This record gives sequence, C-alpha cells and structure tokens, in this order.
Amino acid sequence: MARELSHRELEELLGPYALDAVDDDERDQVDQYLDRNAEARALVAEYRETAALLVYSGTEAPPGLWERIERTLEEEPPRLAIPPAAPPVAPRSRRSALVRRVAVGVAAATAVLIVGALTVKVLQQGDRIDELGRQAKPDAVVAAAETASRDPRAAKVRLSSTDGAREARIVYLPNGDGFLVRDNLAALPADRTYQLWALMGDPQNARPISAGVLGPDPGVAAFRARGPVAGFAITEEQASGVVSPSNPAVVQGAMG
Amino acid sequence: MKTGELRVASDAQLVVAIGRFRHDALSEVYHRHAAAAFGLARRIVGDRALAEEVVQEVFLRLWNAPDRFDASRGSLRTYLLTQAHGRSVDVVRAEASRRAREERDARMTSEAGYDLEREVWDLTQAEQVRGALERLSEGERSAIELAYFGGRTYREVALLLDEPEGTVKSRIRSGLGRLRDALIDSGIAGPWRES
Repeated sequence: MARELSHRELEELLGPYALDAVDDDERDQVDQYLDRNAEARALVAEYRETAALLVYSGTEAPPGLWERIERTLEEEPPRLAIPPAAPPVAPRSRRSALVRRVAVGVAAATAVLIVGALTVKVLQQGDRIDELGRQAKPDAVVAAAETASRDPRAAKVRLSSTDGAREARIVYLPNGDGFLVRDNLAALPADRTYQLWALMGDPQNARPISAGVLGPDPGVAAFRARGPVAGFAITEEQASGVVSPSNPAVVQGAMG
Repeated sequence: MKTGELRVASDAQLVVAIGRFRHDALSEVYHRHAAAAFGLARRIVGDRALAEEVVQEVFLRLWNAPDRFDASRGSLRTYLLTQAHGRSVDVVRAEASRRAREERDARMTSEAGYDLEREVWDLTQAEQVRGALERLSEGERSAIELAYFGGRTYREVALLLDEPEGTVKSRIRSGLGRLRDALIDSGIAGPWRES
C-alpha cells in the first residue's frame, strides 16, 4: 500500500493532479482529499479551466464521428430492478399510510409517464425521463417501496425543513435503490417542480447530485443513487429540472 | 425546448436536455466542443483513430451520466476537455504507446526548445494566451507542456528535464497560477464562462 501523503504533499500535488500528471496511488489520495476540502476542489477546477484555455479550438472534428456516436446512443435507459406486483395483502389502511397518491405510469428503469392526477415515478440519477414510456405497474413500485421499508438493511432518512413543518421520508438500500415514500410538500404550479438530490461524499462538504425530478406534487418515487451518500435534499426548481441546485433545500436530511 | 432554441441555449441547459434523452442537445454540444476535444486527444495520443475513440467515449459518458457535470465546478468545455485529457493519458500510458513515446521523446530532446505556443491557435484568444504564456519562465512552460500535452506524470517530466520532482511540481503549480492571473487580466478567464 502506498504511503499516506501529508497535507502539504497533497497540496503540492494539486497542480499536477489537475493535469493528470500524477501516479495512480497519488491520484486516489488526492481524490479523497478533494472530497473533504472545498478549497482544494475549487483550486483544481481553476487549474483545469486554465489548462483548457490552452487547447486549440480551431480544428474540425473528424467527419462521420458524430454519426458513429449517435448510432451507439441507447434508445431507452437500462431497467431499474423492480419486483413484479404482488397480490395486495396489506390492509388498505396500511397501504394508504405509505402511499399518498398512485397513478398508472411508466415502469422502465428511468422512464416516467404521468397519467391523471396521481404519480408514481421511477427515476435514475440524473433524471432520465422518457416521455414515451411503457405501461407501468404502479403497484410494483409501491410494493417495492414497502418491501424496502421492511428490509432491515434499509436506511430510513427523514428530510425536514428548518422549522420542521415540512418533511419527506426516504428509504434507501445498500445497493443504491431508494424510494421517496412520504411527503407533505405543498403542490407547486405546473411550471415548477421538486427535484431530489443525493448529497455525496463527506457530510461536511457534500456534493449534490441530481437523483431526479419529482414533479410539482410528488408521490411515491423510486430512484437510484450510487456512491457515498451522506444525505438527501429536495429543492424547488424550474419544471425542466436543473443540473445543480439553484435554490436552498426545501427539506433536507442526513443518513443516520 | 425546441430544436431551434438549442443553438442559443447555454451549455448547462443543453446538459439538462441531454438528461431528457434529447439527441439534438448532445449534437449541439458536440458541434460546440468536439473539435477541441479531438484536437487535444490527437495531440496527446498521436493517433487519429485513437483520438476519435477518446472523443466517442467522452460524449457517450456525457450522454449516460449528464449529472456528473457540475456547473458549479467549471464550464462544460473544461469538463469535456478534462475527460478527454484523462482518457488520452490513460491511452498514452498503456505499454504499446510507451515505445512510440520514447522514440518521440528522443526526437524532442534533440530540438532547440519546447513550443507550447504551437498549441495555441484560437483566433479569438491567441494574442491573449500568447501574452499570458510569455509571463511564464521556461521551466514552467516546459513542465506544463510535457505534463499536459505529453501525457506524462510529473515524475516522468522530472526525469526528462533532469530536474528534482519537487521542482517540477512547484513549476506546474506556479505556472498554472501565473497563467490564470494573466488570462484574468486579459479578460478571457474569470468566473465560469458558459458558451
């Protein structure tokens, strides 16, 4: 195993790191250092931007390359593993405690189809929503969420506003599958949406990665978030979603 | 967002559209940035076919994981060039490339000097970047050229230049800092700039 680098040594490596000019062991240690040091991350970003300005922009991309890229693009996202719908065994009152609203939707891995006033969403990190979707089995998502809730390995994360008035509940499994199972968030206008964020890395300097757009009035939602998740947050954004949060969290919570 | 609107959309808006399976959004990003990515990859790997593969990987990675682009950390162009550079360096460090690079190194060390300016051709920025480069010492320019465009680690650069590793690390750091300051002074660098 490589020797552990000191803080000074790590700082000295930031310039070479930004130019991909370090060994694999050094890169791993700098990666970990950047996860916990926002100033260092900002400095590396500046170095990379500077280096990028040195790159000649006047060449032409080779003919035919875009066509090759386009041919390899996936038409549909990979499937999110959701078990087939089980016969309803839970008492109606128990199910209604878990589910606020359910509707027919798309159950492909990252596809969502909103039908009627009720919403079941299957999201993938980054919110790949396929509006053309396929027939959904909303009970499958609800069943999966219920199963996850009973899994002893599942983390139950409570997201709340600063005043405690608003909250949401997330069930998160070790394999990265998660479910928004409850919320009391106020419905938004049609041109706005709630967006779910997985907070990655060091809890003190977590980086928000989009886990999906929830719509103006969230219901039960399945999502996937892989990596060192420190917590979750929900923000209010424009209807199309955003790459990074543009507003403070409406509700937020940390993994226990 | 309509197709016609994509041409005037910001890079961040295009990435959101890519997140919604818009092929035309990825096409617009390709139109804006693929040439630079290809030029950088080709400079590093020295082979057209390999450079095309690098560019293909970079754009497929953007398609499959658009959420990995963090607009708060820099521009999309920088993100794509960083991806292209990293992948190109991986290719270069493979054993099969090393022999060709050693032969190229032998030719380079016989030349009079290193020409970092040769890499800078953008007509709208050439003068400012050349001016910024003039602020660097020869040692700083050499270290950055060999590391960034040569795909070498700082240890390899130190061996090539017959300099201590600490000196090379320091020159890379100070050189990038001076370039950054000079480019800010000239107005072509600053807070993250979207296209």
